[in-house]
Amino acid sequence: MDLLNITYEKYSLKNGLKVILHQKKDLPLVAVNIWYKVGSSNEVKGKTGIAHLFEHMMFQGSQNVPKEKHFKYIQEAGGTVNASTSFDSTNYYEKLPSNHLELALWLESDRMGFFIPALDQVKLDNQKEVVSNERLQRYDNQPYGLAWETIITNFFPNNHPYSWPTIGFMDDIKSYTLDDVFHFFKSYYSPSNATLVIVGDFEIDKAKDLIEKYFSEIKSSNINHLPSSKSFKLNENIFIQKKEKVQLDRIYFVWATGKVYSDVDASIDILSDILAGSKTARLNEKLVHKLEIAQDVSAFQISGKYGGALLISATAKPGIKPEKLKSEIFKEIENLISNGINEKELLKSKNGIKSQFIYSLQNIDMLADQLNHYNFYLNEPNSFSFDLNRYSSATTKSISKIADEYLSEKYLELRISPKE
Amino acid sequence: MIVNRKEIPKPGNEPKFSLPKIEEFKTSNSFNIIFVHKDNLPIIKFLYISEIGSRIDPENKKGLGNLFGMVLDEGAGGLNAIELKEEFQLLGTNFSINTNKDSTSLSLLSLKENFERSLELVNLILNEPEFAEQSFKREKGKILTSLQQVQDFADITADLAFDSLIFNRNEPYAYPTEGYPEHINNLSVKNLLDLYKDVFKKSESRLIVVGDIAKDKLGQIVDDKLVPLKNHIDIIGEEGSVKKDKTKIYFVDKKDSVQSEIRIGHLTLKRSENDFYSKVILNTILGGQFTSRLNLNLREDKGYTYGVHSSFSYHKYAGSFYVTTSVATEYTGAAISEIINELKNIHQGVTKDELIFAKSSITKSFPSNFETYGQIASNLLSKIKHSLPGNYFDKYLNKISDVTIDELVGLALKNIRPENAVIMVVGDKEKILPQLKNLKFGEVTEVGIFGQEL
Repeated sequence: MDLLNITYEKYSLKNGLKVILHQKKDLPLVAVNIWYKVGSSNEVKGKTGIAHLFEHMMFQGSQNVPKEKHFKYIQEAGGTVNASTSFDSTNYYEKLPSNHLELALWLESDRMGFFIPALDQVKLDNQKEVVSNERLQRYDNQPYGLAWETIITNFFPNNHPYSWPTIGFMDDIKSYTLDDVFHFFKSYYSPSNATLVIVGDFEIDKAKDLIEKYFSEIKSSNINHLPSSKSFKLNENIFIQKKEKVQLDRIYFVWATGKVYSDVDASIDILSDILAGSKTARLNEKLVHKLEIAQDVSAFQISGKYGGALLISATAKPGIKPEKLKSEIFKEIENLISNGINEKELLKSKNGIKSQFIYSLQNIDMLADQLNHYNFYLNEPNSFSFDLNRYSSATTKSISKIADEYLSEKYLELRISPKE
Repeated sequence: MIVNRKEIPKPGNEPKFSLPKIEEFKTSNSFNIIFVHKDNLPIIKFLYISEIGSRIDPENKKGLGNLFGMVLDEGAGGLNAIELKEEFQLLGTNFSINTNKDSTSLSLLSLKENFERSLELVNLILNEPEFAEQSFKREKGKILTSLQQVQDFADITADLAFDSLIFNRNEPYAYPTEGYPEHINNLSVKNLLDLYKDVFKKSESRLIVVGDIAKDKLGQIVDDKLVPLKNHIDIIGEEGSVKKDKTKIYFVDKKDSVQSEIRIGHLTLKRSENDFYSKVILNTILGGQFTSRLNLNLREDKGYTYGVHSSFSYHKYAGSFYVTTSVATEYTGAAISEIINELKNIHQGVTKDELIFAKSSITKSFPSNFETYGQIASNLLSKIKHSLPGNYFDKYLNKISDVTIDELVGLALKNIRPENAVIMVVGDKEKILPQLKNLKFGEVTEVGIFGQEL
């Protein structure tokens, strides 16, 4: 499909910074997006959450940009700005009127090259409080909010790079010193460890000159600590039961899958969609629609550079025992393994995925992020068609085979029940 | 190359931006359409807007409109609920029905090639809904369970309790869109059918379409695929009074909470062209964005919270101003005190620099409000909802630029009244009550999750 063929130019500066440019002139806007190859998977136990805390510190100013001004300058120019941290990477992005491209490059290069001189204890103490509150608001104070943390700490093998949450444990967050921040910067924030993507209404030559101007003098450093992991299987089922202040029982099941873009990755996404990706999916139809024993059911796969997992969760209706949910979920899984899937449900998934690919092209900031994503994992920014083809080439046979191969394995089960 | 990093780079020439052309027309089967042609991608966004919002729920039937929206697409035209949803999925079309306080909308995002078939399915839902007893019971069960779960969520509880307290208890906007459990329990299929026949089918609807389709073709498809509405009745409403009680603190006890959800605010007049623009600017300075006074104080200076925001919010017939945040339990009292201080301080006026910043940010970000098909559709929706002038979008930038400091003080500031605020806190009573009492901002009253007296 032509729409999904994104033309781009890719090159590197002498210091190793990779650059990807794609013009799109529908609106007078430009998106700037930088991925650093560092995420929480680069951390070690006892020092969790620093990749994310560091992301916050990147907004606290740099040598030529006072605290808070990064946001202020971008907003004054009519732009938006933010960042996010995941297991595998940290990304920073701005979207702004096209005549302000230079502003974004100045800001991004200043913190890439000249972050250290502006670092101080007051800023660090402040952001430790902010991040602690982020953790409280998004996890600790939400119903079932610690389920994710409980799952990954128990599911992944000890010291696996995904066996702690990206936000970090509270004690670790509170423990960070200026020295920790300094070393984290020195270890990972090198131009050679980053890729800059620009998408939107700009002139290629002009943009290249500006990139050279602002980024070329930044020195590269060596990246030393890289995580590693072996593929793994659970040797036996893991069962965890917790009581929390919630109204309804909820049950989670987790199976080991594979790394992102591995041979089975797309098939497992389809499998999770067929199981519980929509109101008409098998588990939803059975548990929510027909039997009315669950308030909700969902399934999804997370997969990254160092491994993956398929999760199914279901919330029991009042008065329904989690055991009942479990037995119905496994009946459906066994049915799927023995009898396979049908053409119609596969087509439903495929057509949905194909449309979502096209709908996702509406924002230039999402497009820029996706180019960086493909470049990061596949070393080829223009991978939309390749990616879609992973899904459209799946067959009922291939999905049934995957189901048998993965869902017959050992799993983790987490039950969260109301505290009384 | 020596780079001067000390100075902020100067912007290039202001780029040209042309607003999308908005066309309004009536089809021969008498649907009013508001349309924007947009073809950078082969997709179409379609909204069917009915004025059935929870605000018209009858007495003792709070939750009727919402449940109506939930059951409406559970089977139609001979297709059962699952079959109907599967038809949309096979087309790759995203379809949903949403009810809020002012309207119920049927929303489609489809590929151009599947638009006609998607619209046929919408027509089945509009004209041949099943309203089967079984679907009704199932959806009713879902909403009752979901209302039971509200108490697990401190943020949702705070929103609901705050709304019920700023409005007078029985006013159309006071109760949750989802309704009250005891009312929902008493609803029957007949209630939904009556609403369908007497109001939904007879009241005026509006269509919003943004997408890759020619205007004539669109008119023809709507003529072809949508069965016309019969009679017309008007759904009316009126603006309630803006009460000005003295500031009072309310709280909902949520034992073992590690944070407190805080809402502070009060009613204002409904949206009006008269002071809308000055309020947008004022809110940008006070709490509408990251470098606002509130966020720089509570987050970037004190570290009490992950973020704090303020808004002027507009229903069709009412408006409100509120501040929202979530803070570590031990900072509950201190955070409320800082918020009230900021609301008082802004009455000292704003600086010229703040005004320049706000105007620059609002005007320069204007084009980015028209990037996605959905964004344009929701802009058109607010134009309809508030009956905005025909040239609203054309004049927007000028209106913002024209706002003076005097207008901010004379008009907008009247809408921020820390002396008349409802202060709503959801948190651990044992830990927050002493802090709330210490504030000496007025009475401290414990309420239930819907803001009801205990």
